[in-house]
Amino acid sequence: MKKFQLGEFEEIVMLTVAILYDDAYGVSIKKEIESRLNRGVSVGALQSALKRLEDKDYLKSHDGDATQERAGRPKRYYKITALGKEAMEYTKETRNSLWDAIPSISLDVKFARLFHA
Amino acid sequence: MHNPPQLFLKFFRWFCHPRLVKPIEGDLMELYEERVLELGKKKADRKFIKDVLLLFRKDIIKPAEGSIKLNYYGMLKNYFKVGVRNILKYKTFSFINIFGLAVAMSVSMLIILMIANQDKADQFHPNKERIYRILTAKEGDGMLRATSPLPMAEELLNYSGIEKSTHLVRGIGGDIEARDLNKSTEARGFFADENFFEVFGFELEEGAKSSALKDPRSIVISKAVADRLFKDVDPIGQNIQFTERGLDAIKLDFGVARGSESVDWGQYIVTGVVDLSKYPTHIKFDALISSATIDQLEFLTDHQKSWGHNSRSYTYVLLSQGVSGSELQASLNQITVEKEEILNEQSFQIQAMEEINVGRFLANPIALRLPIEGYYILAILAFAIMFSACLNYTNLSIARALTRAKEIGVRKVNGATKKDVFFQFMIESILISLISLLVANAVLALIKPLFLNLWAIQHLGPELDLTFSILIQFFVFALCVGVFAGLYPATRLSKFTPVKVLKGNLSSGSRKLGLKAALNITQFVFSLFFIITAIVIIRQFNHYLSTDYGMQTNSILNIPLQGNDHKIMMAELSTVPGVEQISACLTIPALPISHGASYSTTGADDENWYPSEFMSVSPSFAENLELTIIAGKNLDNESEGRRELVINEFATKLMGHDNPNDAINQTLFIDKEAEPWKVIGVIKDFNFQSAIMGEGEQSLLMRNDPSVFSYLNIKIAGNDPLKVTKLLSEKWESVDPVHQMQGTFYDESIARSNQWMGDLGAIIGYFAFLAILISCLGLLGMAVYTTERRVKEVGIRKVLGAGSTQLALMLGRSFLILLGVAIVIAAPLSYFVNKLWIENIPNQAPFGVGVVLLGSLIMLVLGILTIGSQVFKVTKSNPVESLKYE
Repeated sequence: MKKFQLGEFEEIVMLTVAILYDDAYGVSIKKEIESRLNRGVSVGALQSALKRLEDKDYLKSHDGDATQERAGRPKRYYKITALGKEAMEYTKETRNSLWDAIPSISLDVKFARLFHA
Repeated sequence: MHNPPQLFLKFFRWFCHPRLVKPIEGDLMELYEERVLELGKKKADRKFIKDVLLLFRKDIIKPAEGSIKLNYYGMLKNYFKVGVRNILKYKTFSFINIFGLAVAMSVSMLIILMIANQDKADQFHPNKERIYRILTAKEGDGMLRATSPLPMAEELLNYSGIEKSTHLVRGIGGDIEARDLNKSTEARGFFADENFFEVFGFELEEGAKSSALKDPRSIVISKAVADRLFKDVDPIGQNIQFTERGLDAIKLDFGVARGSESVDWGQYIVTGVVDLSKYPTHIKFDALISSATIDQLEFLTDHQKSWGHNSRSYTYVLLSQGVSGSELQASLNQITVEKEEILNEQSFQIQAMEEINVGRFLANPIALRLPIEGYYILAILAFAIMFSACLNYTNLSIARALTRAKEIGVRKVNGATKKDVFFQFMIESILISLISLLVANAVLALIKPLFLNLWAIQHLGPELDLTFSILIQFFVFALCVGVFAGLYPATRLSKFTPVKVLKGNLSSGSRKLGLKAALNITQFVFSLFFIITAIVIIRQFNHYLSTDYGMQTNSILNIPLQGNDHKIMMAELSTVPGVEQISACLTIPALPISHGASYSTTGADDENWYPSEFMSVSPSFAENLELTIIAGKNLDNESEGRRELVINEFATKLMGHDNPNDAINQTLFIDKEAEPWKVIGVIKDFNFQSAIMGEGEQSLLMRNDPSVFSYLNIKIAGNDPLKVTKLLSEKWESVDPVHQMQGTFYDESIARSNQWMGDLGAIIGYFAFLAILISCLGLLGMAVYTTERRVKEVGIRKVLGAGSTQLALMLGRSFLILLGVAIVIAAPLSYFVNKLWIENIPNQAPFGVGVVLLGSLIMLVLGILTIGSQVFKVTKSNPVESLKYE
């Protein structure tokens, strides 16, 4: 099976791009992550992640129209590619399979400990 | 709209990957706007700065070279491709440009080759930058001399800053004989002292450098001489015999080597062998004899050894480390002051080693070199031709600007800047010049052997080897030509405004056409000047060749006696069948070898002393050359004892006798000798001078002194002179087994002595050929361009009933005017310039307006053929063809 490299932050970015669907560009992605996950995201971290994902062909981009508030600069919209979708599914599956493999007792112990503490 | 901190915005733009700059900047701006409204400008600024700094990371920063280089590569590729396509598409123009540039470049390359090879000489001396030669200037004598007084070298050693000094004394030219081995060869060279090998970098193949030139009677020989004399034995320590024959150090081959009476210089011991073929140098010698020998030979007079005389010795100085030439000059100035009384108004200058090979023209040269002035003239000629060819390129490119205008417009609309378009056209012209370089190399390979075959060039002896560094120089040269030729068109074309050219209303402007016409006229003026000059020189050369010398030179073979007794040789050679007559003489008339003397009728100091040619001939000489005695009688075998002379008519007139008979039995004093000579005969004037020297309008005195005879003149009868020559040389060998017979036919010697002028004519002729070729190519280009643009006009005119002649006149008129203007300027110019030199030489060929007309006619015909080829094509074209499309 192909190996899909997807880091934690990268996965978040991919998911957010998927959520935003038609409106995924730098600022909107940044805001979406910040509001949903309640954590700060720097432009630099986000853009470098986007570039890496694009280089891996998980994302594709196209330039939108330039607008007044952006000083005449275009928005760059991102979309998930088929490969990107595969990578996301793969990551999800590996996680699910790991979850499934956890014996129920293992988690119970934790609960037990919690109780006794 | 608010402005974020500009410094950081600029910083961001600078480091960011160009592909990401715009969207990220947009994001930053959007966020900034929001933050300003939300948090105020200060905080927004701070956050903006933080964002920018956090963007400064690996994925965002542009690669160090990547994108820019890729872009350039793509553009370069495109420029190159478009350039090649244009060359292929417009074959006529490409041919005109490439061919014109190539022939012009070939000449420049030839001159680069010559200079590069001269520069190679004398690079082997380890201390070459510290070696200087002392030159002498004499008051009232225009030319500097390469020689200096004999005591100079020794005197300079008393001055500080001089490590070593040495001198070369000229005057060795004769035969070296290895008597034990019965071998002999001719050798020329110098007297040199023991410092010779310390100043210069020559190494000995055999022998010790420190002692080779130390003792009297030591001789160092060249490897060529050693190979001839001592093939199988060790040359060191061998005894040789030297017979001085007064051969000139510089070998000029007129087919007859000058030699005077033989003097036995005694025995020498070979102390060293130098392989000169390893050393490209201006000091050429077959033998060096130790200077200590000079005093043993009665070879130099006391005057010649003194400070007052300067034509014998070449002084070379090796300065100490760190001493500059100006210090040497200071020492020389001091010598001039100190020895003022004995110096006879001489003063001295220094010449650095590197200035010797490509340097100014000097009297008493040590070797024949093309002086720097010669290079200047050649370089100027080559530059004129090159400039002319570049003008063609410029002219044609501008003329054809229209065909490229749309392309430039489209390029500019697509974002090309002025710089880009400029660059594109420069690349195109460099491309053309590099292709021309290839063609030029082929042309060079063709003309090089022709050039090296020229008589004068053979004597200057340049080697024209192609080396890697010269090829690099050619390449750089081609680049320069490309840049130069392309500069103006590229500047002009890159200035086009896209709106104008795409609309199609680009006016070529009549003023600019005027400039182009002016350039083309200049080219034709040059061409016509070259053509006329070449015709004048070649006519002059032919005139020299056909000069009637007033004597019979047909089938006379001149043989240098090479030290043999003329009586024995004459007696032996006269037995050879086919020999009609033999005479002997000191100098041969009509060759540039002379023996002058001055004479007067009374011998008094204040009397008129007339210059004259003082010949010595055997009694049979006059008959052999068919000279006519018009008064008195010829010399006989006893004449020398009775001090009898035969003089020419010109001399009798100088002496004041209108009737030659009056001069008989008159006395003459020659060169201040106490005893007078008696005139016993007068010969009819004949041209005994070399054609360039004069027409025989000088006094000629002939005596019969057998001791100085150096040539035999053999008249050969019959139809097979070569067979007789062969018999003669066999006979010669039986008398003199040591030397080989050297004989040249008289007519050939005369031709060879004038050959330099033929060569000059050939060189100027070649330049004329190039100039007219390039001018015509330029004209052709303009004609092609103009006629092509007017094809439709011609079509319409034809339809409306215009005749071919009328059309041809209409199309060709402006070009004819152009040619006419060029002739009007160049014809008088070349007439007067050529008149200037030709009036100052003797034996002028008739020079008049006819020559100028001939030159003009040649140019006119070539020009009309050029224009006609195009005009004819257009006027003959079917109007249906030209009007049909569209």
